[in-house]
Amino acid sequence: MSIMSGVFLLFLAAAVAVYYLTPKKVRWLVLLAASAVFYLSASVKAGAYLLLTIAVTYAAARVLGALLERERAALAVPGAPAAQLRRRGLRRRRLVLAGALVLNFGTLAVLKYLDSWLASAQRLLGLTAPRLGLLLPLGISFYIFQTSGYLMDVYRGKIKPERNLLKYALFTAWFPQMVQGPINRYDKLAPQLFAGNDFDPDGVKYGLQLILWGMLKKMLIADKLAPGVNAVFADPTAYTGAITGLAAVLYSIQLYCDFSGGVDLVRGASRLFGVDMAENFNRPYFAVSIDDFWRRWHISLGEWMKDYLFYPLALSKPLNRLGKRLRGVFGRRAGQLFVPCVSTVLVFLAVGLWQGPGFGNIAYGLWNGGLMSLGMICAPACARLRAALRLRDDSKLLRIFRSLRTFALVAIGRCFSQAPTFRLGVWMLAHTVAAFGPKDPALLVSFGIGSVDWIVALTALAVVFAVSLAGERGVSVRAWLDRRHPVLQFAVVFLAVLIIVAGLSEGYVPISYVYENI
Amino acid sequence: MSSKKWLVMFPCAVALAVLTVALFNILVDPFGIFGDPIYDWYSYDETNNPRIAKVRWLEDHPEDYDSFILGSSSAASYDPEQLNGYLDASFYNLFAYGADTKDYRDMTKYLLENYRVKNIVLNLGINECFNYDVGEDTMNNRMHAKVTGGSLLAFTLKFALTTTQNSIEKVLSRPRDTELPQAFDVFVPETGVYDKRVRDTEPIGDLAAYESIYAADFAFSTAVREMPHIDECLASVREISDMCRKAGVNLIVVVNPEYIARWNSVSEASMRRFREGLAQITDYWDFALSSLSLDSRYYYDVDHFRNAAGTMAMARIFSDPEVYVPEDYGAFVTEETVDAYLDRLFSEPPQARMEDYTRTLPILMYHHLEEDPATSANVSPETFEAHLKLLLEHGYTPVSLREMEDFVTRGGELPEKPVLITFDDGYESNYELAFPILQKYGAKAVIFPIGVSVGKTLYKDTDYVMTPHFGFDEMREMVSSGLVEIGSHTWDMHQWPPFESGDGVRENILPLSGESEEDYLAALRADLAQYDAVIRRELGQEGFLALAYPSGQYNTLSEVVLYENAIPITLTVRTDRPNVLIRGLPQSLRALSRWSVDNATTPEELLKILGA
Amino acid sequence: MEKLMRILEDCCPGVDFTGSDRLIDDDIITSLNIVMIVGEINSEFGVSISVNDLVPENFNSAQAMYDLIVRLGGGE
Repeated sequence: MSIMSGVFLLFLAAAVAVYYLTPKKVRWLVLLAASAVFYLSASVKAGAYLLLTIAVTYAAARVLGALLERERAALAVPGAPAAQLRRRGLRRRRLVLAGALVLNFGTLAVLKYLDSWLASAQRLLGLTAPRLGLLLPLGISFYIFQTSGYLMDVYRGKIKPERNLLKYALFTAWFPQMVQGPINRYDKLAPQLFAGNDFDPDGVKYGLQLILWGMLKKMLIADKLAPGVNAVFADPTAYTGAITGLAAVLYSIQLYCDFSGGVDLVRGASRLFGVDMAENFNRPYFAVSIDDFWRRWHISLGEWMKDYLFYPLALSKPLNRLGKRLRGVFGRRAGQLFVPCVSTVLVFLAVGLWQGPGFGNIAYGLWNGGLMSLGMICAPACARLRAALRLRDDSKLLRIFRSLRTFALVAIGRCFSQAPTFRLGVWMLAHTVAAFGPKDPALLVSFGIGSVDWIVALTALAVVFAVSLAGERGVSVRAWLDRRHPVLQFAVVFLAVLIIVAGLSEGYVPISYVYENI
Repeated sequence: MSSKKWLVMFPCAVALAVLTVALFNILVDPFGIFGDPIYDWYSYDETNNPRIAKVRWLEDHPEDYDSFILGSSSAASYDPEQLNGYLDASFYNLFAYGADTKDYRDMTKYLLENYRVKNIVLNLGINECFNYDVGEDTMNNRMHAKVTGGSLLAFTLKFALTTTQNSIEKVLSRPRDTELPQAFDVFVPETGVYDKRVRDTEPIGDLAAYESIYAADFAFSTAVREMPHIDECLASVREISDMCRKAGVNLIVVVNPEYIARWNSVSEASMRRFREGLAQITDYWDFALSSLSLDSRYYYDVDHFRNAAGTMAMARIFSDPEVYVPEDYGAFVTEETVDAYLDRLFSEPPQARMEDYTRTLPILMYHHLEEDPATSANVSPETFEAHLKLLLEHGYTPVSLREMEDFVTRGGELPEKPVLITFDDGYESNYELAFPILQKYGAKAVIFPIGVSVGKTLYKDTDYVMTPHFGFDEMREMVSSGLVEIGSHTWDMHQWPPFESGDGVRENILPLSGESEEDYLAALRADLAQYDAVIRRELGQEGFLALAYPSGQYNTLSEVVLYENAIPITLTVRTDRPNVLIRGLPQSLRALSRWSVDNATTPEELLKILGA
Repeated sequence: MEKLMRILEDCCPGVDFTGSDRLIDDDIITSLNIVMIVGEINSEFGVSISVNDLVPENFNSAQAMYDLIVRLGGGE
């Protein structure tokens, strides 16, 4: 079932009711049952893949846990050869972890890319063979990342492995996270899932508000802009530069409202059960730098990448040895910067490849990683420049300029991966500058977005922007609304629900989330 | 507000929102389920979902119909009124776009259970063997629960709580409603057919021109396929046949004409199997493959035959002598004859020879004749006589409007090289100078007088002196000679601005600038009625066959109004396409080209116009 | 401690390391800075900071970082 559907909302309401009517001890089983219903209603076959991942990672974590226990016990024996024991233990744990991770990411890679790899191989060899048509299970990227993070946490001894298979299954398959994340951490999520939460009016209210807010962002902005954006990105050559540029901007807006709207919805849903999932967005388009942006956009992925890929890379011996050697050749500063820059670029390459196959995604990764490295390399120079221009760091104008610049850089990067080919993406950008002239202003409203939709989307966007701006200044619109007259509060909720009910019933064709099939 | 209070308020807001949506959908009722209380706009509701809105129409008019046409959009081309004449019945066309044989079965059951039924015409075609039991999942194609026997409550709830998009669109469409059909209101409620007035008044002539205009609609290429649902289709037909027999209902099964590309896309084996199976169940008329299949002008697009083809089909079934029907169009098939019929069908492919059913018709346009003309715009009697002699010498035969109309609608004869001679405005010189020459050669011609100017030498109201116009006595004399027919150049929609006193001068038949559609339609209809009344009174004849548009100006709306006023022939002054009259296609008489001829026209130029 | 302060100034010019004990929580220094700092500390103090040590508590202030170095056996 699509989460943008009346069926889902009814399902959710039923699950919440059952949850709070059940004795606390078994409430987590209600969550597990709801998750199973949700996931299996989408596809039973996908459920098999999910079960496989659950079984493999559960077992691997148990083995890792046992190895650690044994290692600790051995070390506790007085006079034991500590260094030797540690080395041996590490080697074994590494082997188990590597095996499990290869299996995990191997499944993802095969299901996601095998068809496209085969296709290119066939093109290269001039063969024609049928596509495998492999099914990409719902949310596979997200549960693979989540379980892999869990494994690494167990490996590092940060957490103890979960002994109860059913509980572990719930952690992996918790239904709100199965559409498009966020990627949750075991130590944060698991206790909340298993606790048997009390009915908390504040939390439930917040959850409902999040659901409304997320649905409205998706329906009124993302879905209204999608046809126009898709039309232009499908064939950019058919449009003037102004339109391709506009489409790049609109795509960024659409993507944010789509992705954050969807995550708001599922975080809200989770909140109804008293379960607080990881934050995923923090008003990313107010970011002042690429680095800042990636700490505000898809936060749970960024954190995951940082903890499980960036830090290990940056602390890895080979990379550091190389850095030291370079220090001798190119000087101290270069040596200092080498490790973080290379690690950053590698991490973003990974993000790009995760998004999809093709050079466009590699370029997307290089662009973001490169810009971030460039920012670090140029930081001292920029500081000097600002000083020379007597720009205060907190100057409003500078702040706006930096946000706009960041937005533009991010939007450019997305063109590489979103256009049908990398080459077309570059062409789009060049075209935006070279052939900007809006030959016919009417074209502005005739590329797939009707005039009513424009009005709706822009109005809603203005509201989202205002709320975000207030948030950026530390003002919570939610808290503000709480203090208004009950009639006004009722009116706001009524209007929100009315828009959703009016738009979201039979005849509404949900546009699937951009990140749903990743 | 405390969170607890908020949580009490929330379900109230939800309930109120749901009620609001339901109320809005019920009041606007875009699918015509709840009685359409505000708009009462059947043609809109039927466009959104013909299955449901037509059921409501029947419920609202239970005594008005005793016979029904069932089919998908193809069947929209069968005219209930034509059938009423043949069967002394009152037909309703219950077709629905995208319908399949399961729908026909459900509808038959519903009709027999709820109405007094005398006849059912069931149309089948290739589509019925490709689609079976589809469409229930969309709002536009869903059947009424009363027809399928599903839960009425669930059905009603679904439509009450549907997205308001449909209702909003209806509200927004209302102010944009016009006389002519638009994408949102394409049905005629009283008969149930599509409102095809626009396509049925479009001028049709040259085949190549038609195929280039509608290239996309006829583009059709697919491998030859088997029809996958023959058995399901036939099973439903059997049920329909049994139900009708039991209820004593006259069932007429028709297999509709197919365009040749569509016909060729299906394997012979499939075609045979369907027809053999159908013959086991019932006798039927098969119009699928004939000479009509070879000419795209009898089709709107690759899937839909024209109203004209539907008219010919019904005329064939009921042997109507007043309607042209090609020899090879339609065969009555029974269980006994089916084998022989199929062998013939597949061994003797149809042939269509243009000269058998089309004529190219040049039309000459004259105005004022004058001895020693001051300007070359006026023609001297000598020149006119020379023109006439020239075209006769080259084998051309001047024909009458009546002959043209007879050729097209009843399949009457026309000479091999016909030509139409016309005079505009109704000048006295037509009577004094041209008529004697016409008599001398026994040549036919048409005069299009401006009604208000007949018999006048002074401009109406303002009394300016103008070129004299002949009177009704002269008109009667010319008509009674059998050589001259009187058409119309409008009653008073060819005004001459310098001679007019007020504003709003109508120089031609087009709407005045800023004139509302309603006012324009009233003015045009009044003008036509005035002319018609005077002609009936003065000539004692049934109206008039043709109208020559003043200055050749016309638009779709004027074409439709003239068509509705039973004026089969219209003439313009365009010269960019040849006139091709086509048997069975009334559209070939519309917006005809005319070539202006004057005193300076050389014999070579005239011959070129004639196409010699 | 002085050596550490020198490293910090060098890696993140313009950041006031003495005034805050929420360097990570307030996004004053980022993971990129941390990696640079850790690289320097590892080579200057001859310690080996591992991934498990890369948690906000260890980097929220200069003192916390110093404590970490001492814990790993690299203090003066």
